[in-house]
Amino acid sequence: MKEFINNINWRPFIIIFLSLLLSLLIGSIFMISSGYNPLNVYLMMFQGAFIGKINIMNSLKNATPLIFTSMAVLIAFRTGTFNIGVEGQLFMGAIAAAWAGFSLEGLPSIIHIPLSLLFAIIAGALYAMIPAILKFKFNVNEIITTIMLNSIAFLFTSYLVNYPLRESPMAPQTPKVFESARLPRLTDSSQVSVGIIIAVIFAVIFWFVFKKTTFGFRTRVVGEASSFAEFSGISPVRTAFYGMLISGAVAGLAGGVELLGVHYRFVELFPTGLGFNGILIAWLGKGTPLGALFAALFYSGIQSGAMTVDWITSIPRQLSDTLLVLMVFFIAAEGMFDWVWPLKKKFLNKKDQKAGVEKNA
Amino acid sequence: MAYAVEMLGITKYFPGVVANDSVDLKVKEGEIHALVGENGAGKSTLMNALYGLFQPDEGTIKINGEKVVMQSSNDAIQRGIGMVHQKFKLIPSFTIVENICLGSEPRKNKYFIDKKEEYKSVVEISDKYGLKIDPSSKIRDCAVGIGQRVEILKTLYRKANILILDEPTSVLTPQETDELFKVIRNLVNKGKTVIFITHKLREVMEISDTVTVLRKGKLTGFKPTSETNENEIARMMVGRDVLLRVDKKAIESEQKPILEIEDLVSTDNRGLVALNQISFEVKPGEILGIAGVQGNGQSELIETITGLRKIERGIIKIKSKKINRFSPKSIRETGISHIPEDRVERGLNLDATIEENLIVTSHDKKPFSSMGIFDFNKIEEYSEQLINEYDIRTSNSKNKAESLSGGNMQKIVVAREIEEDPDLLIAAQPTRGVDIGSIEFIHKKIIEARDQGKAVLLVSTELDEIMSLSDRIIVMCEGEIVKIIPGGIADEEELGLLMAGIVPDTLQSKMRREAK
Amino acid sequence: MLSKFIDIAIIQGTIRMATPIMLAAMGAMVTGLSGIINIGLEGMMLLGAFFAVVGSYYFGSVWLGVAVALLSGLIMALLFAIFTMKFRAHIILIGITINAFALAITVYFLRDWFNVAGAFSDNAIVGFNTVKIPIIKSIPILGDIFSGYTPIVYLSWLIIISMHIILYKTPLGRHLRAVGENAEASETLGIKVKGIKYLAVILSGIFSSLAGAYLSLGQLTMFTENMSANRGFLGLAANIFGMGTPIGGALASLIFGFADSLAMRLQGWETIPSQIVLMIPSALPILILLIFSVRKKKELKNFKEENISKLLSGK
Repeated sequence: MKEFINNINWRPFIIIFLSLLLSLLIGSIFMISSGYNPLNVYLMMFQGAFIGKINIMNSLKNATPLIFTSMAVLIAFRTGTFNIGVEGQLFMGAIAAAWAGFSLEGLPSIIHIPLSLLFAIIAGALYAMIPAILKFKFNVNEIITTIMLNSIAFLFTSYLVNYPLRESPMAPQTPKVFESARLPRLTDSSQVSVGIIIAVIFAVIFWFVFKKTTFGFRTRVVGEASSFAEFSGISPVRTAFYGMLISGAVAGLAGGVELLGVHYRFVELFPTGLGFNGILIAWLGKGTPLGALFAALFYSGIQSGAMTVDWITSIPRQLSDTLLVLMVFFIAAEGMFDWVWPLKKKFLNKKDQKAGVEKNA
Repeated sequence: MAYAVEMLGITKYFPGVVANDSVDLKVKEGEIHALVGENGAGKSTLMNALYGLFQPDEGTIKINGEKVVMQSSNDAIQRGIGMVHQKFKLIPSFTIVENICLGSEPRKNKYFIDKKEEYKSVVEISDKYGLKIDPSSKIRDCAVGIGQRVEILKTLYRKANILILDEPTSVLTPQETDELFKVIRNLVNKGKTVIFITHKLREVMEISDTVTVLRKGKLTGFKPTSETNENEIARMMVGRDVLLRVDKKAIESEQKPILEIEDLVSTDNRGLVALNQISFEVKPGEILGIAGVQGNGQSELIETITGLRKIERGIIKIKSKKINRFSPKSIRETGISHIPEDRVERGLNLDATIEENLIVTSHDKKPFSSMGIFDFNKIEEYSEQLINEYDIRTSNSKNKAESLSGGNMQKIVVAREIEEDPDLLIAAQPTRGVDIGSIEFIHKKIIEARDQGKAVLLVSTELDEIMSLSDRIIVMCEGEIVKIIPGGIADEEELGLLMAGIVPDTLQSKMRREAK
Repeated sequence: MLSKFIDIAIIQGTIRMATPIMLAAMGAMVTGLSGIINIGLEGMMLLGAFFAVVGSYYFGSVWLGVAVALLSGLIMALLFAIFTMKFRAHIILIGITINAFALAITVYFLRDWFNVAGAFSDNAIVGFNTVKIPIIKSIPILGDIFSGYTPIVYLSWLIIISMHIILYKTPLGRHLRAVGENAEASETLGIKVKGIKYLAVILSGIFSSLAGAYLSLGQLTMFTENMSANRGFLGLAANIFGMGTPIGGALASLIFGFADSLAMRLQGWETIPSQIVLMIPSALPILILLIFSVRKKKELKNFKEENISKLLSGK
């Protein structure tokens, strides 16, 4: 047991912990300046996140799309590309799932749900193919194209929802999807659906693929040393291209699950930010699937918590976003914590010394 | 006799190694002093200390009799020391003038560059020391030899009196080397002092007045060149008599060629023709050496054969099968392995473990994986076996590749490629930057491969290596094959001339082309 | 028919809409030339827009508002520089994080300090007045095109010209370009590479926050959430299209500004839904970058073929 503990690399955990501390500290400064006691606020947040069945369900509901989007970001990043277009691909996936959900009549759930999700996956992958082709065939920077394509996706879905797919002149939204297309809810009192289970399964699948399969291996080689990959017979372009498509597919799936599990129809104000937060969460999870899973659960917890805080105090719920960003800032800046390691060594040496003395006594 | 440079008792520590151990270096004013030793002997460390890049942990440095402490290369430059590094430090898109004056531009009105003045100064120095260049041409359009002249001009522009040249001839043809030596003698005539780092013993004998030899950080020799010879210097460098030629048995092969190249044309990254209708073949059981100065198409040739570069015209056949449009992976599958000239970029993933680097080319095959899933135990087994066989110095097969020394890194590449059991082994600069022990090992493995009936295509800029390993030699110059020579018959001087493109019958055709 | 689209108003609109993009492009250029990719220009612009309004509101002066904006740009730039160069953070990620940070914190402060969501507009905010240049303003047509903008527009023109002079005629400019191309070489020649990189990042922060101040005090007199609307990224695209030169970046920005202007005009048109029209400013950069790449590829291919046929016919 002791050996197991000694063998774990503690560094990343220590960095995450210290980053959390720093962010909470900075958050407290904001709170104090608004006249609140940070400890109370954080306690409220924690309660709103994790205490009580409804709160937990809510957190799980928030986490569902974030787990998917962080996976999407991860797979692209592993091959060396930045898929900032997760937002747009998610929207395309959502509206595709919506269409399949309200247009296809008379299908049993067992077919309708997977089919609609398939539409979402394909929509996301196709939309990701645009920046993928632009990058891999024409060498156009994917950060700029994906950001522009996000805007285009927002506008396009807005157009669809205002004109052709509009349910009625009353509101810019699509019709509700049929019951057969809706993802079953886990409880009656909250909006969390089986989507969370699908998401966790996906995270585990990603972990397995990255760690144990040849495909996962290839993605890493391509991302770490693309000249070397090419030389050894792995095509960097092919691998990264497929990585991008899969990324888009998972982003589309995120949209589909969110739509079929929570909203049941596509609306003009479909949630934005799921993609961007996915990027931050992927980083918070130190670029690993399981890390991202926990980061997503953690973040959605504090997101729920922040909402609770918002109702009770006047502290805006963007508090959670702010804390998240601050954490990512600090985690990304590893060098910031360089001074910790020599201290840790000293501390551990002292402990060993003491233990040695006690043994001999 | 006045000493321009005295370095006394210089000791420098780096983590885990004593790079310089109480080394003395005494360079007289106006002499050409050769600093010799193999890779890792401490020559660069010593010179970097002289150039102010860091301070020695112990010892003193005197310049022109005066004790100095240099905190940076600026201090060294102030004291008249100039250094020309092996890897040029030039800005490709800038002109020669801009490169020379970079960082010390003459000013007009304090905030603006006086472009007329800088042009004038460069032309002046170039004329004075006989280093001919075209001041307005951009470095990226210039030949490598010109780049070196620019580097020397940089030091002269900054009023250097003591010039340190680090392996200056590694990128030059024998003819360009002769020209460089003329320049060096001219500089010395004009009162400069030159320190010349090299491992090429022939050059030491040819040009230097005094030679200092380092081995493993210690001073092992300090003699006037006239009082010593190549063999003695080699012994001082390595500590034992060095085999300057490798033994191998002669072969005669009547089999069908494994590699056939017909009228191959290809371009480099800028779109200029790099390979001009090359044709040759390689048979099993022979080592074909390609000699030539860096930058004459050898890299592009290897890249076309291995699928890393597009073939514009012509045909490449492996075992009689045309492979023009094959991907690198398919080409490997026809039975080709490749030890690349850039092991860090192409040959290894430094962030990955030794294990991963060893199996990457067969990662999708049994026994390392089946149905896309890895068998990590088999991978570990295989790696341990190779680490033993190839004497790779590391504590654990799961260490990252970047933790290894250059020679050991190269051994991993060599191990991986040879263990693929190819029909054709391509080895490009296989012993560049590698310690002598590993060089011997790698040469042995290459000969073994040939003796087992494999075809070997060897590309090297080291004439010694080419001459001692090859059964046949091809000389490349400016993307063309200048001549094909059976190995035992070539001599170094002829090879040198050929590498510069000077052969009675092709000289005329070259002149004809230039006249157009 | 054409006159329906191209008239003085559209030219003026082009120049106005191009200004923040131009400034962002200059920021992208300076960092790009020194070898740094600053994706965070967007976030710096947004923060600049917000703090410009805050400064103007509290100090009752438009220029003090600008000063506060520039200060925020300076601080964010320093954070970017320190985190990436000293703390070894991933440069693209820090850029993305800065953008996310700007989004989150501007909304947070908007609610926390001003108790509004979506937009903040108040009579206490002092905006810019337009500048009428004497003499020029009276010239027909040209007068309308060149006179009558708010000061930051003119400032941006000044910046572009200064950048051109600095880059190509001063030692600092040369050193900057050298650092981006070969930092090692520059270091050995005594150029302070770190200092230059810090300077480049700081300049990019100042330019983008200035662009933000223009948005919230020059074009309108208010702050809206996500006001920068991807203009930071358009600046990056303009810099690529402009080949990393000041004049090139400026021209590319004008093209993007024209697209923005045109889209706004077409919005009034009833035959095409506004959403489709609004896609133009986002689709245009993609198209342009694509055409740019295709041209480059083709040029290289033609150059190749030329050399090869020269070779083969020579024999």
